[in-house]
Amino acid sequence: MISGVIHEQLRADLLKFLLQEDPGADPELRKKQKILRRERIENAVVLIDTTSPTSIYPLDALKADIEIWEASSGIKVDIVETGSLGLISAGPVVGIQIPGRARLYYGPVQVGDLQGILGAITKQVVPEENLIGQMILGNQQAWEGIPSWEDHPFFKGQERRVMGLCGVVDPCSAADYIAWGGYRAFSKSIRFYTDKELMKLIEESELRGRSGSGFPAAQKWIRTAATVGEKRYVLCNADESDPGGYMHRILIESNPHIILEGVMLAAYIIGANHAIIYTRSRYRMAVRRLQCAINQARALGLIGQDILGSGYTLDIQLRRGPGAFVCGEETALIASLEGKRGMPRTKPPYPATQGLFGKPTLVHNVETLAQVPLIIGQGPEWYKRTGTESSRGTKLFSLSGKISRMGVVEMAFGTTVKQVIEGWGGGIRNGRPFKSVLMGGPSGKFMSDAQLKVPIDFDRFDEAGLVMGSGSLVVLDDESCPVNLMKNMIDFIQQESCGKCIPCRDGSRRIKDIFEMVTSRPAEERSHAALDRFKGITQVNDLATVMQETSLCGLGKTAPNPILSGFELFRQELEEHVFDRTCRAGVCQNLRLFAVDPVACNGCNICYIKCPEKAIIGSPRQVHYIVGELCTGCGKCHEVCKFNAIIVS
Amino acid sequence: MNVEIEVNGKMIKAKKGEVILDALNANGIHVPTLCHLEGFKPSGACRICVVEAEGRRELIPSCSHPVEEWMKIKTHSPRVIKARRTILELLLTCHSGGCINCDKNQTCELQELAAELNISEHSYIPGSRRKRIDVTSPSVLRDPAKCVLCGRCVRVCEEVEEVAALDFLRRGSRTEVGTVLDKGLNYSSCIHCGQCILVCPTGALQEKSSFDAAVRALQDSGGYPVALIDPALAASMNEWFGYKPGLDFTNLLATALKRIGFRKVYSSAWGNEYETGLAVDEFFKLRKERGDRPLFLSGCPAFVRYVEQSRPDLLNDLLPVRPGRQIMTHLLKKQQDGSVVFYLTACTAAKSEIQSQDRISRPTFYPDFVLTAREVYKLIRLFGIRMEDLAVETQQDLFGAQVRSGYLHAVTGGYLEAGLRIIRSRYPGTSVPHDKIAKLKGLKDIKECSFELEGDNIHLAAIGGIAHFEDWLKETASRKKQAHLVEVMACPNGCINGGGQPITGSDRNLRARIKAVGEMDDLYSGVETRDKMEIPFDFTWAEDDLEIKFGIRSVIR
Repeated sequence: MISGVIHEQLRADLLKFLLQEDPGADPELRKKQKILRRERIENAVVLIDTTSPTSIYPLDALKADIEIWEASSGIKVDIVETGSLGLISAGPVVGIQIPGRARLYYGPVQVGDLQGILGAITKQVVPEENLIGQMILGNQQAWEGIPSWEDHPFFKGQERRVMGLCGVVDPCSAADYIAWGGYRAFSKSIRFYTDKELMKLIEESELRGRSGSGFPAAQKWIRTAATVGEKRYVLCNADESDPGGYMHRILIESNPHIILEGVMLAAYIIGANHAIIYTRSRYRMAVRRLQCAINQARALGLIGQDILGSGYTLDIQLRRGPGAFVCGEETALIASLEGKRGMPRTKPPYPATQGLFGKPTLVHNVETLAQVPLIIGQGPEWYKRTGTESSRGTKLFSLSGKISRMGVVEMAFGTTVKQVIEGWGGGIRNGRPFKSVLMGGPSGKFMSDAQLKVPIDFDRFDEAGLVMGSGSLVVLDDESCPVNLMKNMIDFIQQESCGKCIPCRDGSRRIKDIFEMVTSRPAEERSHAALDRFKGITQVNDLATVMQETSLCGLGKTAPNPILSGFELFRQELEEHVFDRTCRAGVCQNLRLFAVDPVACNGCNICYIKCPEKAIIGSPRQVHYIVGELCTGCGKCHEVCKFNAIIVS
Repeated sequence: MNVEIEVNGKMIKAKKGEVILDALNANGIHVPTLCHLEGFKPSGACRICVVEAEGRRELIPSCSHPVEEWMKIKTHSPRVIKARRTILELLLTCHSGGCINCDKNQTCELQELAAELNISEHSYIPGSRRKRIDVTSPSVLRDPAKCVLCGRCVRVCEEVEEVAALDFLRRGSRTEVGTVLDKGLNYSSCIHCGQCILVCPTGALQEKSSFDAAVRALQDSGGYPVALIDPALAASMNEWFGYKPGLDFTNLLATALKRIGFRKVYSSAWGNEYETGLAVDEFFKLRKERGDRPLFLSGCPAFVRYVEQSRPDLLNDLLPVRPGRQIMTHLLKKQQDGSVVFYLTACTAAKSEIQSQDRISRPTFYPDFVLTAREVYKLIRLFGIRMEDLAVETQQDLFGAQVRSGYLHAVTGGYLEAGLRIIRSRYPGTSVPHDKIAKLKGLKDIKECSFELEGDNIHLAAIGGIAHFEDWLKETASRKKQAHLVEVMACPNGCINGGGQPITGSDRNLRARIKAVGEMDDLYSGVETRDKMEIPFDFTWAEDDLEIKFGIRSVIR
């Protein structure tokens, strides 16, 4: 059940937090704030990261562990479900805090670990295995000799603003968010400031949209606000679906209230009384937490009629889309919300003048809107302190692929991708050599070594011909095949294209077919296949150019990016696929050829037993042999052989 | 306000706010299009119409991009031509290539486009073209393998007919135009109006043809084939044969049909006029008890189907009168035993009508074959008749006396106009001033007029297109508009724009067809509109024969 119930007493306290000029000055409130922030606690507290990446772990077993320990030791433990600190690869991250002492974060925590850790900590000893660091809140007593969590290589140097409260607050609790200063920007704004004054702040902050192109937000806002009409809408695009991108989802699941506050502020500033958050029904946890946040905000009177006595009315709805990549495009998103098929339409008119139901509409993604409370709350001067001249503030990146530490990092603009990968990402997994990185998912580009040193900045990236996209980084090492990745990306596009315009719909499919031919099984080649393959590969460039030039929406226009950049960077590898029919990374299953090393093979027969295609012949204690025509390249024999007798070529 | 833009090095004038394509067309510069549909919001789906604008990285679609002052446009630069050709080649990879067997061969827009862009070979390896043909509908045949996903039918079905029987299904390269739940068209909300056929650039949508069976029946020596020509068809048939649009083709058509083997060729105008008389009777019978609640004429089979399917609340508001085509068919079959009636019409919904339940109990009311203008054209060609060389040999046969107003049914408002003529002759005290009512003529979506009879002010409305009808209903609900008798035609502007018409329909052609209908009316201007029509042979109607009582309509009264 999605609850939004807030206790009467708590509600009164929270409103005091929101309405008083300086809640810190009131000792009574200060005390309550400390309790809500968990600076001062009565029982031991265990904070468990419960975002969707950790849902693969047996969190219930962890909780059972704690309960067993509670029963045996007699010490009461409160379990709090929080969001994620951003470090996904060390999941689940667990924070442990005993009264008076600083909080300790551990990760990864396995079932059975917790009893020992809890036992030690209550005896004032800190086990150092899997320790991330300590987090000192308020005037808690620090643990001696234990590093701060901010010195952990994944967090060191991050500029955590939007992510600031992620992993610290309970995402399902408005009280947590308010105790940390949330909603104050909104409550102040609607009571003391006019929309014009606030718009000025947004203009001064030089906020740019975080969805990829970096369009100056203020321009959009002013245009939407200036369009004459009774009704205006704010739409928040929370339907992130880049393969490899998950920062928005983590942000929503860890701190939905900051997004809500951003939406509220945007709505107030442009003069909208309706706002809609569009997410997808498959993101169940995000939906649940956003709905919970909306219910709580409504219970507190932050949504509804005459908010906090200011006379401003705002209604926020959560809508769930069925899940389509193209619905991230603003006009497709609007069509989907109107109950139509999620297909983009031609622009102009832009949504700022004719959007949802023909009314002026402001569309932003989660990350952009989450910046707004910070800008309003701390002021544009503070906001502009980080970042570069042309790109202010911070940007979220999600790291995935062959990288040591995966997760969501927030860093100031101006950092380079190299720093991201080598610093926070911890370099390539298992120390293998770096090959490339695909930045921006299916609409992004592969980056060369030189491009890795380009500072992350909208203008600099534009000059260098790079694509920031929404901020997903997929790292490739020498064991990953860029051709395969290109194929996957264009396959994703040809499945997710809305099917409206020909270049995107048929162009992507044709390119995918060509890649299909390039990675087809040589053994099954028919008479003209080689010719078709050669012809196809010469056509890809033309097709990609036409797609870029003529597609209706951004999806089609950017879809060939991985292909074109990949062609430039990995010409050699591509030619090997096309002409030599080999995949040097050994990823393209159809191009893998397996053979038995007669010297190493001792005839254990395991490969013979495990081969699903019955492509291996041989009897015990005899050297085995792989029949090339039958082998599908699945690699099962390679996996099971204990004597390294199966060679990949 | 005008702006000047540069196109291919020359300055042209354009209106501010109009799309580039309109400006180009107004200046006689041709840019190929595929999904473009005049009078509709641009969809920008096909990207064939792209042009190059200086300073823009990508090519812009001329059909949807508004003219801007700075523009320097190139309509046929190498980049543009390459893009257009690539797009078309891509499209052709998933288009079934069987042109010879295609209904639209030589009238196909895709063929024309391929010729214009000189596509002579398949550059790309074609994808799978196997798709299931939807034969379930009695009126419309869908062949998705020929569909180019331009979305015209989807737009017409939604925006003109508000039926939305067709929409896009699935996504990505598996996108298809289909019906709800991907079932057959008969399962959908289709009202058989056939407007989708008129806009389809390829042969993906065509009428369900009964051509072969019709030819067999025509050549059957034992039969007595009778042709019943819809005036809307007579007003447009000439467009197929290279004549100037806007001719009354009835007699030439009669000549050709007689040569083919039809024994009698009648115009269905007689039936229409008979129907009008009955409708007037019924209207005044029901007028008192109904007050301000509107009554709807039930002449248009697609509209009746719409009411049955989507607006059952209006079922009791349909005038319970059989349509003229049915009345006349019944009489023809009674007059001559063994008559095989071929209804030559501009209506695809008539094809579905002859398969209604009612036909089981009353077969004589239904024509044996319904042929659209396109099928009639094929029939004439099949029998080797060259209309170009044909002179009028015979007139159409007269069923009883000559009529006049019955021809008007082909245009929206015509039915009402015919009715007013009867009212005028029957009640000399009405305020109907003339034979011809200007308010009910011309190309208009909603036509309205009113007259007074014995202190009773009666409002009339004629509506073309279901979307306009729905709008009108909303307005009546909010009391902005009212009418006591409403003529609704599913096709905009009536049968002259019917789903079975030649596919040449532009506003110019429609005007010409209206003119031709007007000529038919003028031709017999000496004929007086009779209050009671005489059936030209000894015949009496059975008790309830004239009430429409088929399908769901049996609930009426």
